[in-house]
Amino acid sequence: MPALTVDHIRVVFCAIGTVILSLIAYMDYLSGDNIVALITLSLGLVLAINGLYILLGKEDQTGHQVDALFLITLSAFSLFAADSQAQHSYWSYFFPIAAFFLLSLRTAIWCVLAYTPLAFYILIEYSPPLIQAQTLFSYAAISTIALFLAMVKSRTNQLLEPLISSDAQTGAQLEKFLRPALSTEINRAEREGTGLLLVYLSHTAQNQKGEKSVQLVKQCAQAIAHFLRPFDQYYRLQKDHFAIIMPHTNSQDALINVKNMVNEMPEAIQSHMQVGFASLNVGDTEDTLLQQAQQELKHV
Amino acid sequence: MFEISMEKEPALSLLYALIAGAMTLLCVSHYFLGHFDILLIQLMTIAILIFTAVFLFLNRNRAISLYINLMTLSSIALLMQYQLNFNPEITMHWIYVFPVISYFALPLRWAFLLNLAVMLSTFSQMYFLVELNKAIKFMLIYLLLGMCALCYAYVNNLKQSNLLKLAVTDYQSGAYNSRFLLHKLHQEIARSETTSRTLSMLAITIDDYQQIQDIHGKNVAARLLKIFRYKLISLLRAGDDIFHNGKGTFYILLPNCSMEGGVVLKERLLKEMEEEHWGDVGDLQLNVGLASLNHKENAESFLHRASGFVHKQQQTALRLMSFNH
Repeated sequence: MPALTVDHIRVVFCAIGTVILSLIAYMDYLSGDNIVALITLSLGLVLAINGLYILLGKEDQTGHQVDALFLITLSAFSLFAADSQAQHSYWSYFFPIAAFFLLSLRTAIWCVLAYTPLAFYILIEYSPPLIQAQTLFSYAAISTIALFLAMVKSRTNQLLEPLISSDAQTGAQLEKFLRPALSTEINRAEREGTGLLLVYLSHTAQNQKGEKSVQLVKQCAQAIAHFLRPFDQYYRLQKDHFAIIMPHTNSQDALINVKNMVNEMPEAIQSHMQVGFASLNVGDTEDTLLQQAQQELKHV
Repeated sequence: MFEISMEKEPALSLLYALIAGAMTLLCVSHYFLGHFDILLIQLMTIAILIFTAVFLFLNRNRAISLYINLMTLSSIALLMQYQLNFNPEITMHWIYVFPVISYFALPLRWAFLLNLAVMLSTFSQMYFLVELNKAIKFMLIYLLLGMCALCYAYVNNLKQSNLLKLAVTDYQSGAYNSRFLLHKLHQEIARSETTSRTLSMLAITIDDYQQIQDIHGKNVAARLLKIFRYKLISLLRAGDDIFHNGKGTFYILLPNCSMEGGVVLKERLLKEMEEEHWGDVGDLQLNVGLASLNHKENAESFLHRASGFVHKQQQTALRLMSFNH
C-alpha cells in the first residue's frame, strides 16, 4: 500500500467533509432553514474547491488563498448561523480547529483571538440562557485543546529540525553538516596518510523555475548517488549546488567518476554543469579545500 | 529511541487541569440555573480530570500514562452517556468536545475506536430521546468534528514520523542515534573492505541507567548523558564518531584501529571514567565490550557481537556481586 501524504489526507478530508456538509444542508433545507442550508452548501463547495486545488497540485500561493477563503467563510457562517438560529451554535466549534490546522501557529493564535470575542458575544446574545454556559465552555475547551495540539506539534518540530541531516528532496546531506564532516575526514586522512578529494558541482542554468527546477535537481542528485561508493558523502549546497567528499581517492579516479555522473544528468543541465576539484595537501583546512574547489570550477 | 512525545505529558496534565477548572465554573452556572441532575455527574468528571492531571504530572512511566488516559476518557465517555438521559440538549454540546480531546490524548487507533463507540451509543440513545431529525444531525456534526480532529492528529503524526526518519541525532545525549549507527557501519565496513584496514567498535553501557532515570529524574539522566559524551569525546581521537542507543549504551566506531589498540583505549577509558565525579548520580558502573570486524562480517552481526560482549560483562558483574554478598 503506498504511503499516505499530507495532501492525500487533505483531499480525503475535503471529499468526506463536502459530503457531510451537503447532507447537513439538505437536513436544514428539510427543516425550513433555507438560508442556513444555502450557506452550509456553499461551505461544502469551498471545501470541494480546496480539495480539487490540492488534487490538481496547483501552486502553493493559490492553495493558501483557498484556505483563507474557507476560514473566512467558516467564521462568517458560524457567527451568522449562531445569530439567526440558536440551535446552530455548534458551528463556532469548528473555527479554532480549522484555524490551527490550516494556518501557522502564530497566525492561527491571532485569528482565534480575534474571532473569540465575536463568538462569545453571539453565543451570549443569541443562545438560550440554559445552554449558554455549556456552549461557552465547549468553545473554550475545543479552542484550548486545538491550541495545545498545535503547540506540541510546533515544539516537536523545533526539537527535531536541528537533528535532521539529510535533504528530503534529494537525499543528500544538508549544507550545515559539510564542514564538520570535512574536518573529520581531513583528520582521518592525515592520521592514516591517505588521499582525500573534495568535488564541487555547480550549474549555471538559471532559467528553470518551480517544479521543473526541483525535478532537475532531483535527477542530478540521483546521478551523483548512482556513481558514489558507499563511503563517499554528498551534500546539497544552497539550492542547486553539490559537494562530494571522496576519501581514498586520487584526482584521476575522481575525474572519471564525475564525468560519468555528468553524463547521467539531464541534457538540459549537462552543458551548464561546472566541476571543481580540491585535493588535500599538508596544512589544508576545510575552508581552504572549499575555496580551492570553488576557484577551480570548470566545464567537464 | 526518540521520546519526543514526552513533551505531550506535561501539556496533557495542564490541559486536564484547565478543563477541570473551566468545568468547575460550569458547575457553578448549572447550580444557579437549577441543573441539579447533571451537576453531580459533572462533579465526578472534574474529580476524574484532576486525578489524571496529578497522576500525569507525577508519573514517569509513559506506558502507564497511555492506559490512564484511556481509562480517563472511557470514564468520561460513560458519564456523558449517562448524562444524556437527563439533559440531551446540554450534553450534546459537551459530547462535541470529546473527539478533539481523545485524538489529542490517545494513539490514533484507540481514539478512533473510542469515538466510534461514543458516536453509535449517543445516536442510539438520542434516537429514543429526541426527534430522528435531530439525532441524525447530531451524528453528522459529530462525524465532521471527529474527522477534523482525526485529520489534524494524523497529519501531525505523519509529519513527526517523517522528521524522525530524517533525524540522525539522539536529542538526549547529542550523539548520533542507532539508525545512523547502522548506516555508518555499512559505510565503514565497505570502506574497510576497500582499503583493507581494520575496524573496531567499543560499546559502553552505563549500568542501571533506567534506575538513575527513575531516582534522579529525566533531566538529570539527560544531563549525565551529555556530560558522558563530552568526556568520551575528550578521550578519543579527533573525528571518531560516538553513537547512543537512547537506553544508556554508547557505541564508538574506531576505524583503522586493531584489537590491541582497542584494548589499550578501553582500559584508558575505564580508568579515566572511574576517576570522574558525576555529581548527584555518584559513581558510575560501566560495562565495556570491544569487537573487531571479522572478514566478510556484516553490520548487523558486528553490532550484535559488540552488544553481546557488553551484555556478557553485565551478567558476569552481577554474578560477582551476588558472590561477594
